[in-house]
Amino acid sequence: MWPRRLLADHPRARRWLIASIGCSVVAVGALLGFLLLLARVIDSVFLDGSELAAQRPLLVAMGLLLLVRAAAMHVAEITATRASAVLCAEVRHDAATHVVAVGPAGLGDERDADVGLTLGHGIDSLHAYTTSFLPTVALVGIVPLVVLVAIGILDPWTTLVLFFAGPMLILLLTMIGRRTAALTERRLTEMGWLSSFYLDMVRGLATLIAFRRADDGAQTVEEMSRRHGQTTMDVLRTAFQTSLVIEWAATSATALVAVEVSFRLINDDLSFGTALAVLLLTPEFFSPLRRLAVEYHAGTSGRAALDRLDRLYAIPASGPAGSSTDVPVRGPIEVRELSFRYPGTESLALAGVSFDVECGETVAVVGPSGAGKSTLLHLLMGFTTTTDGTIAIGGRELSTLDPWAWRRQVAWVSQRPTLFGGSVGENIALGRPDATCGEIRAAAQLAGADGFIDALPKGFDTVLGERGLRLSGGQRQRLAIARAALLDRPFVLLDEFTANLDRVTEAEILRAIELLLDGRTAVIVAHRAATIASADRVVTLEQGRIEVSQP
Amino acid sequence: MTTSGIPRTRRPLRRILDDCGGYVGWVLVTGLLQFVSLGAGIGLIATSAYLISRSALVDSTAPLALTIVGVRFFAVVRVVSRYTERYVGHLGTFRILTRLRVWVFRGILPGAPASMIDRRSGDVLTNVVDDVDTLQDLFLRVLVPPFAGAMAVALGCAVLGRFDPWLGLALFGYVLLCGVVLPLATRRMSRRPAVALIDVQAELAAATVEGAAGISDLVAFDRADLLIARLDRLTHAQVAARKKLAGARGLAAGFTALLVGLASLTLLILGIVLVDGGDIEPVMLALLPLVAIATFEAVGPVTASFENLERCRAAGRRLITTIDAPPAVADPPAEFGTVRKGAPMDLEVTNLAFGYEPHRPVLRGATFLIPAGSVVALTGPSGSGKSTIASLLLRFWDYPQGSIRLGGVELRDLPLDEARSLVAVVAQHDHLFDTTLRDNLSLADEDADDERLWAACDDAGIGATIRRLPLGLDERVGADASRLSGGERQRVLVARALLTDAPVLVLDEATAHLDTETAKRVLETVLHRREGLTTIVVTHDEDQVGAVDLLLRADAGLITAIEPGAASKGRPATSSR
Repeated sequence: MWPRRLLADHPRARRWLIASIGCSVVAVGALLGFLLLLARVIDSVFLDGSELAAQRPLLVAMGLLLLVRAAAMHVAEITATRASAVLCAEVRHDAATHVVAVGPAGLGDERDADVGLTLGHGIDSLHAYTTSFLPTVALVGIVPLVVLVAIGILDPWTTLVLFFAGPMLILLLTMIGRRTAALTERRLTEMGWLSSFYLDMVRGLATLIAFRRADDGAQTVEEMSRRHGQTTMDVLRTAFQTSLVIEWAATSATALVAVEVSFRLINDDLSFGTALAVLLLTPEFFSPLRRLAVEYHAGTSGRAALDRLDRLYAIPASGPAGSSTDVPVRGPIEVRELSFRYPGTESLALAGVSFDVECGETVAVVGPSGAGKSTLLHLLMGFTTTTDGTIAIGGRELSTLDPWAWRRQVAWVSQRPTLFGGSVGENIALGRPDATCGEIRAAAQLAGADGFIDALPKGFDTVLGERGLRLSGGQRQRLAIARAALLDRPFVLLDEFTANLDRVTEAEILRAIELLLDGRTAVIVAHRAATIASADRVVTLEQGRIEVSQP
Repeated sequence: MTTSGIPRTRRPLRRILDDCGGYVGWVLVTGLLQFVSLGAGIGLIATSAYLISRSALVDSTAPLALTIVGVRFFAVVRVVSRYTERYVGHLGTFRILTRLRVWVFRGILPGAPASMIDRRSGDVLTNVVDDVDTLQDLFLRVLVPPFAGAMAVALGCAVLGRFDPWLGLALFGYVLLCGVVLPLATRRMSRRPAVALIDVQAELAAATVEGAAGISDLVAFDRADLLIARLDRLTHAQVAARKKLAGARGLAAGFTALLVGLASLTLLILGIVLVDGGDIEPVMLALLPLVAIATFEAVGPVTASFENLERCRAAGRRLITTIDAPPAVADPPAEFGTVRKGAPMDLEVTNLAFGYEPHRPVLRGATFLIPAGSVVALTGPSGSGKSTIASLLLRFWDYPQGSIRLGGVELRDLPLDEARSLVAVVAQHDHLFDTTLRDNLSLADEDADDERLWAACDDAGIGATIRRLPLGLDERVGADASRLSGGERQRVLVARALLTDAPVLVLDEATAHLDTETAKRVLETVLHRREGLTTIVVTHDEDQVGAVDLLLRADAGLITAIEPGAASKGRPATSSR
């Protein structure tokens, strides 16, 4: 229930959270005091016939307690939000830093979206977790005890009733909880399924329309919603048992206490004032528990987010890296007996690969998908490391070099370039934010991108939409090439860089690339013959091994 | 996603409720049950207070028997009604949600897919689904609480009013302050940060997904600082909005607690005055402040319903804007044409001009003639209008200028369904549904038997792969076809399109994810199967098509025919045709 480790890692958030919980306890204390005074005033007016004037000091005290309670609740809300603010900011910063440390090799393609969710919605859900769920959990631990002690001082007999009701309730809840935990899981899956089913159908609208099956689609939506709505209700009926039990316990305890104290009142075992006070305090014994049932969802989604973060942190940061920043600025790349196995897989992604890239030479690596081309590129980029075999740059082992310093000598074009929110110009200047407009334009020209950029509403200043939605695949690719062209670096690594280009543009780009590669040491990963034509040598990979190495 | 740019739709929720229908009964039943539960709460506390007050005055339990029964009765009613209310409430939510989903789905059909592409926010699809999810609160958290709350408050005020009208009025005044005035005041405070929070949250979601997807670029260019700085900046904006909201919410919480307390205090004081004056019996005194506290239990959900109302209204407005978007295409008036049976399916495009946005033409004048049964290659640089032609043939958009004649009939004069039955398109972003391969394939031909399905799969070069799967055609493809590789997905799409046997098939970069050899083989079998039918291959790689009857070249919005072979510079055709 209580995320001890998380809060220990973020002491500032913990301090705010404790402050908030403290305020909440003060608010509850003020309420208990108010109720006790209420009972006292009623007692003296009802039985002793006291007049309003005589009660004035107590009434004023009640008013003051209300002010204390209101102020405490206000501060509790604000401090809880402070806790969440500090926590979310720190957790997201740390997680993003870890994602960068893990790097592309560790994350892998299919985990991209998952990581995005963890950093985004996942951490967002820690807000409700911190501001609503955790304070309530703390109150569940504190308030019933305080109420129990207060009632114990007033009337030990009633304490006994609650003393049994409390553990009984917890026992019942755990019994049900165990049964409903699985059911809740199922409920969430069911509901999630329906939502994603609907999204799937809406996404496929164009396809349904093209095949003239839109009406059938609407019918399927109706049928599936109905069928799964029924299953969900069956699950819910059981899941509601938790709240039924809490409601039943709170209500029956109030009724039980009312009847019990009234009998003892009749027998004169108890004063009216005490009896009323006990009746008023009893619901407060259960109140945090009832609130917890309401905040249950914030708790589960918060815990889910923490689990996601744990999984993220379970991915190790990319291997032990060298620290030397003295990176050769020229020289051959020598790959020797390089092998690599992804954790948890049987077969080797690379099995003893050796080849050389002479200084100023371009080597193309070809082969079917899954042959190990991307792995090789990741190793060359220093995204990941292996202890099996070596890569030497200008005679120095890559594993002894600081990977960041090494990458500063490399211009890179990825297979699926990502455009980041910001202007076209800023996207080209990704590797050199200080580049001048003229340099950016020149790089765009070299990549054959200036034509379409000038046609955009604001040219180089056009801001790209979500994930660069407004550009076609080919245009994005050209921006990526412009990115690399802007960097004047001795080494070039290109990953399937012409995969989305039409032939005319490809020819233009290849000319530009030839300029870019001139005098530089380059590795090109490709599958198209035209691309390979510009290479000095071709290395063919098959199932992690070099099949052919031809001049 | 900004709310500012959305045109105001008058009373969106009324319209949604009227169109979906059938909600009144659910609101009544759930509201009544909720009222019973709240009322039982008031009854329980009132009878309990009365019971112990009386007990202080009597010496035997006999005169209290009825009161004790009352306490037990209200306790049982409270528990049972609370459970029933939750059950019925959720049942109603699901029923209404089902209707809502179908209504929205049918509602967006006429405008789709054109209306699904919003040049401002990009992702109308996700918005539609999110908005429907938001609207599921409409029933249980917007409509029911005011209804049940009003009745419960009336009950509480009536109970007190029976002792003295002023008591009822005093309680009512506090309820109004807490349930209406306070939310209105804090809403003013929270509106701006609430909108800011929604915006920054959307931006955060985009930034995190973008950052994760682009991690290799960021690391390669040593610009990870860009991602971290951006996330930090957005998180701080989010936190700032949340702090402002917390200020408003804290005030609301504090004032609510204050008002509840003051209400009970006021009733206590009024009660003492009335007792002093001999207007009510002292034994009733305890009951007055306690009934006030119990009545306020109904106020919380009502306050929350205001907030939910705002959210639902915004969601409803967005949905209705999408639904009311004028359809990009419509069926022609009834008297218009149909394609004569057996007519040669020549495709004749003349001076076709089109743009998705005004003043930004994509096609500036496409003119070409494709005789029935031709094999055509359509090439050209990206953004030259190749894919747009396919969308126009499918009648996703209307074409205001120029003409497309298929089988001798102007395409826009055909009913949409008929036009779409004549053309099949395989595009890169075509959708595969999260179901079995069989279901996905049958979309193109409901009546296809296994033999026909397998034949299409074999022709698309995916049959052997599917045969190796444990469940064969009954294997599920996963969400977004995640269980298929890019190349497998494309071949399934091709197989599906082949099942239509449409007179015109457009393969829009349909083999881009296949290696050169496989792509060639697939195209060969596809063209063999479609002997006599027109097939247009949109590609950037002319080599893949082999021998073609016609070569079309798209350039800057112009699409024109060039002599076959003229542009391929005498590369030997590999096809056996």
